[in-house]
Parts: sequence; structure tokens; C-alpha cells
Amino acid sequence: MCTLLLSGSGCVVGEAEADFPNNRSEAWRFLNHATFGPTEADVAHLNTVGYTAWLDEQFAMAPETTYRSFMERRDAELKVDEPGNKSRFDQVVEGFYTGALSDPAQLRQRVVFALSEIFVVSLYNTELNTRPTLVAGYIDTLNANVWSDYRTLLEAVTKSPAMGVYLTFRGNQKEDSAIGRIPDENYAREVMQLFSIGLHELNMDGTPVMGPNGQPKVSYTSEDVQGLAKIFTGWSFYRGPSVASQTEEACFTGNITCLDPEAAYQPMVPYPSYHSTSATSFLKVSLPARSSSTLQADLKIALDTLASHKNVAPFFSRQLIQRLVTSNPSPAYVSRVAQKFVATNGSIKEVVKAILMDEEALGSPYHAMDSDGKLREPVLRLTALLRAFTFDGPGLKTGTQRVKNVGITSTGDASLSFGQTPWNSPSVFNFFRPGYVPPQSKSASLGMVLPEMQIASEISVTGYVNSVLSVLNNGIGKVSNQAGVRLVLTDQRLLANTPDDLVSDMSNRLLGGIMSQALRKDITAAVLTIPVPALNESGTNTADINTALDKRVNAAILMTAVSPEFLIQK
Amino acid sequence: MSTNQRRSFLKQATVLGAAGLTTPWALNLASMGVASAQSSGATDYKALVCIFLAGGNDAHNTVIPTDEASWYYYSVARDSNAAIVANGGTPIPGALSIALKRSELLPITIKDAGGFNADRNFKSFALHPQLKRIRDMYVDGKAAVIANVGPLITPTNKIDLFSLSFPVPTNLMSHNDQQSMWQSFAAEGAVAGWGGLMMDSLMSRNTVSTFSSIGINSGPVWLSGKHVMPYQLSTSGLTRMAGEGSTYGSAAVYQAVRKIASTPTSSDILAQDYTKTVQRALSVESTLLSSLPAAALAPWGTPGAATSAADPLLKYTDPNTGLSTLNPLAQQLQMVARMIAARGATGIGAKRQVFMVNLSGFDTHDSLLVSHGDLMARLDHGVAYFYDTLSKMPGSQDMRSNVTSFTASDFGRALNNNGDGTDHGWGGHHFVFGSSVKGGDMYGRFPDFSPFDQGTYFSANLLTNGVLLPSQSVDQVVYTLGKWMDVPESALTGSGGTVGIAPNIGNFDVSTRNLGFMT
Repeated sequence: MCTLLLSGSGCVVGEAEADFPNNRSEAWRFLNHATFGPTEADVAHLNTVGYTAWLDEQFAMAPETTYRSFMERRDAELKVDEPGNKSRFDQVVEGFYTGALSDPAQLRQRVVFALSEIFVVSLYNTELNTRPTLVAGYIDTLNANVWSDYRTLLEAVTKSPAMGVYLTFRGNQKEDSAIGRIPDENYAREVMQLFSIGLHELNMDGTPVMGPNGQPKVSYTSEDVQGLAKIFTGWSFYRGPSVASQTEEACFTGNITCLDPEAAYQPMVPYPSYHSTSATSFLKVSLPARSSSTLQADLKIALDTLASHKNVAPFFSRQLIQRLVTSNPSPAYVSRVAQKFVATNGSIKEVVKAILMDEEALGSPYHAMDSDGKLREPVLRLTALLRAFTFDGPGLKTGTQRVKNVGITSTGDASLSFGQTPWNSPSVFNFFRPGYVPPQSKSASLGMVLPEMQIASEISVTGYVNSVLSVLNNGIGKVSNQAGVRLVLTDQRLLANTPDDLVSDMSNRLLGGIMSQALRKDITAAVLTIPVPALNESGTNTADINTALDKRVNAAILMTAVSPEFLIQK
Repeated sequence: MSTNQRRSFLKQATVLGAAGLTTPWALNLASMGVASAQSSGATDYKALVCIFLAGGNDAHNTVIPTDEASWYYYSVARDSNAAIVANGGTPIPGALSIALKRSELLPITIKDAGGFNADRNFKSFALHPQLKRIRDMYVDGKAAVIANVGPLITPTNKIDLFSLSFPVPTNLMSHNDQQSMWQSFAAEGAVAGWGGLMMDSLMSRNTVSTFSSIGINSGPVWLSGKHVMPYQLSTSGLTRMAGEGSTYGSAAVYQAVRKIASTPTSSDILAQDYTKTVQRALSVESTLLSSLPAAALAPWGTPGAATSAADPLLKYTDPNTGLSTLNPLAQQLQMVARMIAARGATGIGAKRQVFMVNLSGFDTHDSLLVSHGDLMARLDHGVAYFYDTLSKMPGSQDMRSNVTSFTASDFGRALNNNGDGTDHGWGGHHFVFGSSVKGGDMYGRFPDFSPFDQGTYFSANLLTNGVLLPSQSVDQVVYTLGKWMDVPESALTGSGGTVGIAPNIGNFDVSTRNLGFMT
């Protein structure tokens, strides 16, 4: 078996051992794709058990907590701390960062985050902002279905009340010519454009099918949107026993008198009298006028039609590759994953496995091509930075009564923070688009896309450097009026007298052991300019020495974390 | 120091850093104002400000036709009771309506300009009730309406659309693609827009190119040229990267952080593209910190305001709550005003600039009257605040004729009611503001409203569900604004095989290319 090797490839890859990383940087790279950032323990474990066993372990793991439970327990805690207080949108973000940083079910959490950037709902929406339990329920829904199949996931997303609110089809009513009303087209349009088939006919490798005019062939028309909109009528919040006495109308319209607290966590339910029964057609499917309302059956036809469209496999696969591995997968890579999608009936587990185990994803980042990889998005920079080292916080102590919580809330201000808060996309089009091309860039000239560059600006590049500095100096987040998370760098302090060793540790933890010579030289030289006093005869200046060593450690982390070698995930 | 304390410290340092720690405010500002008045003055300075209404503005509730026939069809499409009455029924109290109340509308008049605008003389118009100050600007000749504008390849009528080979813009009604289309004449993935391209041809008038094109809190494709890159500024203010000259007590670490962050160490393509942005940030950091006047200064701010978020000048009254609330549009326009004030400073030296600000929330599939009313109030307050500020810039300069602002959006929305809102459309009505605008008038053909049945209109301008088929193209708006900015004709129309900044303008009759709304 291959063991952890700090440099080079000292391991002969035989057939039996192909399932194992050849060296540290290969293990580290895989974990960058599959987790919120490699930890030392993860690297060691992966090297011990190999890829397949690691993935199987991860697939079997349940999340440490549901968001529902987290929100409810935080609610109780906040009320104790301050009577009248309650769980708000900030607690959803706390839940995210707590899971991302400390839940052992890393692959699950990481893929849920990736899905949240495809099937977007956002706390930025006014109604969801004031009812964050809907978003908590939505995340739990993604989590519950993350290892199911695409068709099941699409239905869960479609019926979720958060999506119903976000894309305004909760409470969407059938057409009524007497009052001049047509069905709301919002969900019908976006479920096609963003969640299933996309704008253009696609080949299996994700490239567009060209029409006779040399333009990509469109995959749907306005008429398809209007036809599908009729299907998404007549759905609204769950009506539980607590609101049984309320009228159907009150519940359908979402009247305040009919707010079942359970509704945030239950799928939307049909309200037959509000559903369109007139003839409709979409995507070559025609439904005749029906004498009675058939919501469930209509929805099944619509979702079956979308999920079985030949675009779905390449459309979904390519985006998931972009979220986990690389902005510019080769058409062959997309095709391999899409074929797995088709062969497994859209099994997300198998698709994720195919993405992570593809030849374009495995191997040392040292051998990656100049065009490979992706810019780490701000949220993933923060999680990878913290996970690379030991961290601690008052909400992470075992044996306390407090909810496990890192207390990190908004990280959205581009100037003063990281420029991205999870679950706070500005629109259903996510923080950045899969097809974004930075103007006047090398990528543009080579026909590449760089989605994450859409939120990199003159503001955010400075904000990022200063935010890393702030994390190092002050920690981040807040729990019990202390920093929610703080790096514990005692191991690094021991290395700081020998900058070479300190920099090697940075290379191993943040760069998979392959820091360039140029960067190593710059960091080492700069670290050496921070003087460390010699121990005096009476031995009373230990504190001063430690302060100086800690400055060296922080400076080394800062310089590594702001380097393009860290920011670009190969 | 806690994170929050540190942040507030950063904010204070930012304000101080903006003029240097030792310079008294008044002196610094006065000297800067005088310097710019003497060197360039307001005589040769022009700026375009794009106010992007993200999500697709409901133009049908922004500029409303109030002649009897048009109002009838507007209300039948938007007010359940009007539809019921039209169908011979009895009104139902409290029935849903997304129609504005006729009595609350703000009437505007139009001039008799003839020409291709002739049909408009048969109509009377009004603005959304929240646009009181914009109406005042209109009456004062400092605002105009551009009717039914949207992306077109060539003049298009309803019959043309039956032909599948007739050229129309791609991916109509898709948010991201039509945002890109309005800004760059291409769907998502475009890398150059007409604001940036105008600056490509005007850049030589500026001392440096960096400040030619500025986005506040975002840098959409409109701002990018083939040479000009957008520079993004934050409403939160400016900070220096990695501290004030020393990091962890070491100037060498400070320098190393900035070098490392901005230098690719390999031929990696992604690293090269990312570090280019860092290089741009660092290259003008000192210039901006020393030139940009502080937020809490007149005329754009209230002296003594602790933060821009606390500045009463930037607050509007939310029509739904009655509360005085921070207006994010005004906050962005404050930064534009501060940059305009700094235009003459050393290292900036701008004679032509384009700016982009963003007001989001216009995707009103739901709660249209409530959400849109609030957004109109923000637009009204933001624009009025901005032009009031521009009327009294440092050095007693009235810069309202130097700065032209206009609205743009993903698309206009459909006319028909989907219950509580409206769906995606194509054409829409827009505003243009400033003293160089031939204001108090409407430009372009306003759509005809005429009977419909089951969502199908007989009008020449209304497609299914009351989606507007544009009768003016974005190209014509670009051409008109480009002429005002002094962009050469050849750059606008293209020449010798090169595509112009208004790429389709050649398909429009010469007499209609300039819509005539600029002096």
C-alpha cells in the first residue's frame, strides 16, 4: 500500500493500487474536490483506505445535524441568551459554516453546497429572509436527496416551499379569462433554463447542437414556457392539523391565518380548485382538456418529460464538474460523466463518483495543465484555510451545553469581508454564471470560461487579503462573545525558528506540498525579517519570543493564502 | 480588537486615508475643486451613468398611457374588476389588481415633434405615482422618456416574427442573456459592452485609462471595452491591501503580501487572469486613497454622518412602511458623485467616463404593486439626489449638463396579469436624465394598445400576453448617447468591415438613428 509521501512519487502504481493516491499532493487534490478543504487527518485516512473505500464511507454518512434541528436548538439558545431573540437568517449561515468546517460527512455537505449553486434559493429574497426556516427546510431536502437520482431530486426541489416562494409558483393560479389572468411563468421558465435542460440542444459532451443558421438550436420556446406554466398552478403550503380549520383559500394564498409551522419543512401540497385543467402542451407533450384537476399526474408528466430530456445528462454533469473540479472540463470528461448519468438513471452518487474519479480530476496538481482547475470561490477559500490547520472555538468544545456552532454569519461584504455569503445569492442565477468569461482575459482569448471570476473585483481582491489578515489576528465569527473560530497554531510556532520548515508546512497544508520555488523564496525571506529575540539569561522573555514566532506563523499563512497558487484550485 | 471593532476602525481609517491623515478636509477639498475648475473645468467633461434596473422593469406600470382607449385596455389586462366589467360581469370587492390607480398617476405632457414620433400625439401619458421628483425633472426639461425600446437586429413587425429565419436577438426573455444583450448586443459570455467600447474610442482624452469605466459594487459587461477594463468601487469605501505599510511589524512582509497576491508564479492561465485584477487594484490604490473625497462631505453627503448608511441624504421613504430607509441606489450614486468630484486629480485626469449602478428586485412575478412601488420610490429618490448633488458640485459647479444618466433593464415585462405580478417581456420604456437631455418629451413610438382575446392582441406592438415588440432599438439609444459623448461616427456605425459600437444601426434608416433626445 502507498503511504504518505511528502514529495515525489515513490509509489509504483500497480493495478491493485490504482485506488490509492500516489503521493500527498494527489490525495490533497482529491480532497479539494470532495471536501471543504483537506485536513491532515483526511489526507492520512485517504492514503490508508484508498479512494473507493473513502467514497463509500462518505456515501454512508448521515449529516451531523439537520438544519431544522440546528435552527430550533439555536433558537432556544438565543432565547436564553436574550429573551425575545430568535433564530434568523444568520443562523442558516452559521449552520452552513459549522457543517462545512466540522461535519465529518464532508462529501455530502460539499455536494449539497454545489447543488445549492445550481438549484438556487436565497436568503436575499425578502420573504425567505424573514422566514429562514423555509431555507433550512430546503437545505434538509437537498441533503435528504443528495444521493438519490436526478428525477427524485428535481421533484423534491420543485415541491419545496422555499423554491415555491423563491420562484413565485407557490399560490400560482390557473388562467381565468374572465378577469384577464394568466399563470405565472417564472418557475416554468427557470426550471427549464437553469435546473434541467438549458437554453440549447446539447450533445452528450455538453457542446451545443448547431442549427442550419449556424446558431445553437434552442431547446424550448415561449410557447413551451406558457404551456408548462399551467402545470405549475394549484400548489401551495402544506396544511397540517394546526390549520385544519382554515379555509382552502386562506391556505392557498398563504394568508397569515394559515401558517402551519410545519409548512417550512413539508413539501407543498395540491389545491385542486386552483389548478389549470385546460389543454396545454410543452416540449412536444400535449395534454388534452381534463374534466377534473389532476395535479400530481400533471406534475409527474412534466417532471418525467424534463428529466428524460437528452440535455439533462450533459447539462447537469457539466455544471457539477464545474462546481467540484474544473471550470473547463474537456468535452470527453463531460461525456464520460453524462454517460454514467444515463447508465445509472441519473444517480447523483454515481455521477459524483464519476466526476471525482475521472482521469481529469485525479493525479497530482503539479501535472495539471495551465487551463485546468478553477478559482476557489470565497466561501471555499475560507473553509479550506481554516480546515488546513487546527482550529477551535467556544461552540466546538465537547461537553458543553451549547449547540455545536462556529458562529460565522455574513461573509458577504466584498470590501470588508470575503464577498460571498452561502445561501445569499443575489438571484436564481447564482453568485456567478457557468458561462462567465472575464473580459480581456487570457481565458477569453482561449475560449475558456471562469465562472468564479465574476465575483472577483478590485474591491474583493483587497477585501480578501484583509479578511485573511483579520481571521489570523482575530478569528472569525462569534459565539458567547468570543471569536467563533480561531486557528490554533502551536505546531507551527515550533517550526517558526526555522523559516524553511515553516514554509514547508505551509506548502504541505495549503498547497499540497508543491509550492513553487519562487513563492518559497519570497515567503522565507519575508518571514526572516520578523526578528525573534534570543532567550535571555533569566528566561523571562518567553512571551516575547512566542509573540514573534506567532507573527512569523501568521505572516507565512497570510502570504501562502493570498498566493495564486492557493487561490487557483488545480 | 474584535472583528467588528476592527472593521469600524478600517472604515475610519478609510475616511482619513482618503485625503491623507494630516490634511484638513476643507483645505484639501477646496484645493482639489479649484484645481479641477482651472485645469479642465466642467467645460470638457462628459459622463454617462447607466442605472440598471435588474430583473426586468415593469415598464407598463412606469409610463402609463392615459387616453381613454389605452387606459381601457391597460386596466382590462391588469385589473380583475375591469376585466369582469368588460366581460359583462359585476365587480367583486377586493379583487386582485396590478393596475395603478388612475387618480394617483402623475400626468406628463409631450411636445409635438412630428417625424417618426407622430402617432404619440393622440395619447396622453402619466408616470408611476412614486416618480414625483422625476416628474418634476421632466417638467423642468431635465428628463425624457424613450418609449418601447429593446434589442432588435433590424426594424421588426409582427408579421416578420412569423418567419423563423427573420433575425431577432437570441435567448429573448432569459434574464442573464438579455441583461447581456442590452449591454453588449450578445448573450451571456460576451466580453465587451457599449459603455466600454465608447470609452475605447474616447480613452485618449483621459490621463489614465483605469478610471474611464467604473462600476459601483459590480462590473457588468457594459463597462468592458476591448481595451478599457471596468474598475470596481465599493460603497463601503476604500482600504489599503494588507495594512498601512507594515504587516506584522515588517515592511518586507507588507511588500511581499502585495507582490505575492499580484504575481503569477507559473504560466497558469487562471492565475494570470486573477492576478491581473489584483495588479489593477494595487496600481491605483494610492491615487484613489489620496484623491477620492470623503463620503461625509457636502454636496453628496452630510458632514458628520458616521457612515454613508447613516447619512440622511441617502435615505428615502419606503412607501410601504413609511419608514426612512437607506437607498442602495443613492449610496452607489454617492460614490459616482465622489468620483466625478475627483475627476481632475493627479493620476485620474478624466474628461470622459462611464459609470454603472444597479438597482435590483425588478423580477416582479409576484407582489407587483408593493415591490415595484418601492423600487420606483428608490429610483425617484436616487436620481433626484444625484442631480441635486450634481447641481452644486465643489467649486460651485453645476454639472448636470455634463452627466447624462439613463435607465436600462433586462427587458420590459408583459402586460398581462399572472395573478399578482407579470412575466418576462421584451421592449420597455426608459428614462434619460440630465441638463443635456431635451427633456419634457417622449422619444420613439409608444405602443398601441388595442383589443385582445385570450391573451392575443391585435395591436401592432403587443405580442402574446402583452409583451412589447420594441419599436426603438437599443442601437438607436447607443447611437444617440454616443453622439453626445463625442464618439466618432465611424466608431458608432463601424467602418471598413469593423463592427460598430451600435452593431445593427446600419439596418435602421439614417433619419431614425439619432432618436434626438440629446442636445
